[in-house]
Amino acid sequence: MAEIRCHSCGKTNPANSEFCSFCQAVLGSTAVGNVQEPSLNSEYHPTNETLPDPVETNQVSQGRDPSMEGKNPLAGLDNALPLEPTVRDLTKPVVYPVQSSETDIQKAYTLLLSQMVKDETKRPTYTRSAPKKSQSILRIVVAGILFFTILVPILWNKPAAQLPSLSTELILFDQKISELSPGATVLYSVDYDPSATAEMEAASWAVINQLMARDIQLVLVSTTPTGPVQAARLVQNIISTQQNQVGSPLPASQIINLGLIPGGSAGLASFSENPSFFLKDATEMQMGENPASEQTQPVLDLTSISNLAMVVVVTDTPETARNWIEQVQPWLGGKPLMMILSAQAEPLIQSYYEGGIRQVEGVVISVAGGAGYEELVGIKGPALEMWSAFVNASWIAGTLIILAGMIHLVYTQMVQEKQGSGEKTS
Amino acid sequence: MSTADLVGALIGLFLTLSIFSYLLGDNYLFRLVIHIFIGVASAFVVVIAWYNVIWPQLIQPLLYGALTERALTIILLILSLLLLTKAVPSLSNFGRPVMAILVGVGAATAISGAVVGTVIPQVIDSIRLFNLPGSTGSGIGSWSTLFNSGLLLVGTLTTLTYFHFITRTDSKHPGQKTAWLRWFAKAGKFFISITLGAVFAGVLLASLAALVDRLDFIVSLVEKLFNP
Repeated sequence: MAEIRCHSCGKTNPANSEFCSFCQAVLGSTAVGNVQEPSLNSEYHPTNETLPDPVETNQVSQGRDPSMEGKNPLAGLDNALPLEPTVRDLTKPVVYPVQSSETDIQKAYTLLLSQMVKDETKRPTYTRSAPKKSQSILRIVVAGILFFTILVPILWNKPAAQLPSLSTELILFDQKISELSPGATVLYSVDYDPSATAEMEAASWAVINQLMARDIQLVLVSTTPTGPVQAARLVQNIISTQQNQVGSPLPASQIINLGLIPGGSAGLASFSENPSFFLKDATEMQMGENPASEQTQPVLDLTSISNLAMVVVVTDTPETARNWIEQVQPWLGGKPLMMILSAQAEPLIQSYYEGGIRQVEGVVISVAGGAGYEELVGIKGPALEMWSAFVNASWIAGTLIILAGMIHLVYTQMVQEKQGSGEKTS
Repeated sequence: MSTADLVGALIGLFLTLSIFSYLLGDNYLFRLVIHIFIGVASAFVVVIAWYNVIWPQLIQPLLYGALTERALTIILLILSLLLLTKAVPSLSNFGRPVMAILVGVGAATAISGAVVGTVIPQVIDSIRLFNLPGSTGSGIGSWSTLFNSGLLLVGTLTTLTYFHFITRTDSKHPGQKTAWLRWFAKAGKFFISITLGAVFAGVLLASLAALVDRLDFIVSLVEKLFNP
């Protein structure tokens, strides 16, 4: 294949190239042998033959090196004109092509990209489309069915047909709580959003009841801003319920709310390494509100989180659960990390407690877990109260989803068949 | 029920019914409540940040702390102020070093935690599931264990393959995955779909629990109002 050599950089290019693909210089058309050489102008690219004798023209100094004379006519001469780029620079400057040599595909991509950038910077205009009447009716019908199935057991106070089965996880959870000695310190993290309060309070009610019943020192913390208030509300509800039911509430000194641990995973890592730093400020705040010295004593002694008897995390997000597993569990020194999880977090945390390495040693999952634990320990809390309505709503919601999916499948199939037959007739 | 409790409960009833009004379509009452929720949530976060972080960890040491504590807090205060410059485009360069520290520390913590707390234990656990000689010495336990472990292995590998976006340029099929890689990715998609389905079911159950709680609240309040 014939090639053309660039006079500027000396590299070879395909014969049909107009510009050098290396330096973008304009290529000539004269081919020499298999390689086309751009036409060389002897005026600008003098050879040794065309150069005037530097000795005759007195362009060189008289100091010659006789030993170099036999090698080259210009060898050994100090001021001989060298054949270097500086000579060529005196020529007319190379005109670089303004037009880029992009392919059609590249042009299309460039156009697409510029269009995307243009669309991104453009302010979107939203057109409000009126909802279809059938959609509104369907929405009301679905809501009506759900409301009815939930309200029936609430209004008639109908007991659940079947209570949740006791899983191995629940039995192990209770076993771990039973192993705690009275007066032991348990860190209880309330890490859920207010929107998950109903589910998480139902799930954690019996657990916190059991801990309080065993005279455990509860230290409440949170990594979410609303957590401290949620924790206070939960404990207050439990205390007032106990007061109403039993008449002898647990002493308030058993529970210390330390507030927020800021900083997400970094905050938790720091807390694991040096809990006293975090607890110092929080304890002082607590002491300001209630200056009972015995109340804060166990917290002040907490120089390492391995001194805790147990850590219980109540959360509705897998990220928070994972943060506790990754940042805190390795520092616990074999003390159990227990979790009370929302149904939406459970699938992603399952592998941490079902595997051989049990990083989480016990779980209570959602309303079902809470109801099961309430049944196990013999307490009637919010989980068992809502269990019947919850089961009904779950069944109805599941049935409606499957039904809607099947209707959509059949409808799509029918539409496709109709379109196919329409195309055939046309 | 005290007056404060009654007022709180009635406000709760109004807000709950306003949210339920969305069933009849988008309306001003629903939007008003949404705006109230967002405003209250933002304000609450600010209050918590002040009382739990800014006051005890920044202002208090600065005012009442020892000399070394004050000096350290001044550095933290300067860094905090530099971070605030990120809000002004012309001054945002001053906030970059602080942001770099924050991102760097966060990433380092997350990565080290993920490696030590998730990747290594989960990999060891996945291997141990096969009950290979050398790990427990008992050999392959049963066919069901083998099946479950195999399923887990296939699920892990195919899911990882689904996120394999690197392709080798081939003269015949430029920029395409090889056939076996495509089949693996399809199987991975199947496992991912099952996982997302499970997560969706969980979200649905959590929402139903909230709905049951709200309806229970309305019924209880009405009962208390008309039958105290």
